[in-house]
Amino acid sequence: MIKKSLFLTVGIMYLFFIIAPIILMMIGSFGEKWFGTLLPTGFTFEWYAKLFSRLMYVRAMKMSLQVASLTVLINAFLAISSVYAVYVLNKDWLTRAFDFIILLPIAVPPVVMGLGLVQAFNWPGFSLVGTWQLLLGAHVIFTMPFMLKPLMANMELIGWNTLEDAALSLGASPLFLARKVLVPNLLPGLISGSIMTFAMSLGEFQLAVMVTGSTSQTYPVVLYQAFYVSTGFACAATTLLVLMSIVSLFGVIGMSFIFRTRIDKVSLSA
Amino acid sequence: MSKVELRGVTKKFGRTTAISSLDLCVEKSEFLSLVGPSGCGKTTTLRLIAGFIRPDSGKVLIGNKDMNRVSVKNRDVGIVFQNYALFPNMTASENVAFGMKARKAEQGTITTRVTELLEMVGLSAKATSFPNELSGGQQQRIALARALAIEPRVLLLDEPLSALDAKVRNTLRFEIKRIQQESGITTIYVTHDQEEALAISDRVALMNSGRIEQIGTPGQIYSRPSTLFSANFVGVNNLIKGDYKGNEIFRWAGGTVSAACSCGLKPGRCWLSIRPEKIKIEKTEESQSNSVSGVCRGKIFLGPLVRLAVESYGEMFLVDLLNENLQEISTGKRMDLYFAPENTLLIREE
Repeated sequence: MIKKSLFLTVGIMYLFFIIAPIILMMIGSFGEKWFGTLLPTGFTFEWYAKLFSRLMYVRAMKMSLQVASLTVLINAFLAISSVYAVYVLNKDWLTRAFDFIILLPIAVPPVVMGLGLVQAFNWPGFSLVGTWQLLLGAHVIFTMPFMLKPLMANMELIGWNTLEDAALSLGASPLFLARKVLVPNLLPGLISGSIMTFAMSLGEFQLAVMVTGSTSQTYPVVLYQAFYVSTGFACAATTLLVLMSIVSLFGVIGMSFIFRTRIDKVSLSA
Repeated sequence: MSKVELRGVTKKFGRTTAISSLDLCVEKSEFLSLVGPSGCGKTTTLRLIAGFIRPDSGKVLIGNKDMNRVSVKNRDVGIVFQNYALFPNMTASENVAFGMKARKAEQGTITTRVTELLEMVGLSAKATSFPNELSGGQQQRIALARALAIEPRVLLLDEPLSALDAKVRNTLRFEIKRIQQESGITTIYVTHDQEEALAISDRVALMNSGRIEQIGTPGQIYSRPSTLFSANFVGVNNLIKGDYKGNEIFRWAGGTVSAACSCGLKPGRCWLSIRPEKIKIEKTEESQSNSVSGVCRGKIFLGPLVRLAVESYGEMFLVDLLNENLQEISTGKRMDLYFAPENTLLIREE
């Protein structure tokens, strides 16, 4: 009984701290004035109209979606290949080295990584700093662990080695194996990895602010500037980002229902 | 349907030798079991034949062709794994069709063959079920159909029944045997279960630490074990330590016993082997020549049989008797055991 109520209290508080600011932002985005009161006063769509009329915000939004989508695609390709290699080679030292390497981007603070990138790719006559491609590279590295982890777990779960043995003995070529067996069975890991990677890239601020230039700014960077415009405007801009995250989240979850995979029970019985 | 041959095959993993200069010949359409304790090299042998691993030295031949340079994909072997290894993302019929699709067979041929195979394993009704909707036994039947779908030259089964419960195991055992006989496919069956190997095979190869200890029909393996390991591993056996004195006379702590055949044994330390079911507790015409007296130390109920443990001169004799009128036998009772010389076997000490 005590356990249950404790759990409920903590749960409700947790949700409150996550949801309350978002709801407040949403309310604020429709308010005319928000100064010195708990809740804003008046009702208006003006902030949204302003948001979509400003080229800088629309362009940043497009840039964010572009970088986040490409990050997911590149990550998926790299992660599937490397997880496959590590799993199939099955060398103890390799697995341990892999575990260590995928933790590196988490251990190195983004600020450090951003400064490093600016230093490393800024040569006289040729500079990548300020391009969206450099940010893409940074986001791929930064979010890679969150794609690798679920894929690795997925690989363990399906008992890959015998599946590969079976497919090879049945005459499957490497491409046929990848297309018909590997990728479809990695779909659950791929989906959860994609959600994480996409969300992280979309909301990432520290790297973006250091690496991008005026034409390659992503949404979180311009969002930060929005707070200097007005509170209502900033709220509208924030709300849009939250909505985008939620829509893409449900999109990916919806996809996972369409491509339902059946690894749960099989792997348990094996 | 092809002959499978291993010639002087050696395989090492790091410092451990998994297989040492193994020779084995499996005839066309034969059902051979590789049986032995875990780590004896039976699965390694199977994987060498399948082509998942290559021998360090020696040759693997399928249909008289050297396979050392042939990849798994081109060996035409069908394999059934212990954990079924069905593709979770495909239905039963898609699983069965996989090999034919990979080999780019015509859609019409595939459909006919899949229907045929599902019927053969008795699972036509489950064609559209996914592996997670099937029981273990059903999954293994589908795996068998999938392996046979490519019309392999050899069928390899790696402990296919170990993950199943006893009842399913027994029915599936008969089914595998029936399908093998109908298709006449050369089959190599790996198991650690000696009883299963004896029940299902034409010939049994008993393996121990990377070598073949004994190879022969189930009858030969059971009644004429050639080494101490065979005598111990297959079935239940009484093994009595003693000396061979020559002239078919065996001497042990409890006296002398006449044995049927010395099989070229030289006098010296050796073992006398006698199966529990060959020992009688009453004197009969054929079992009169050898007798041993002892004390009953235990009695176990085995269904149709009762197993007695009788101690005599420091050795424990196990005796299997039909479960009839045995109420008077209880622990502590003195009794005499009788057995015929032709049911004993002398085994060289190693």
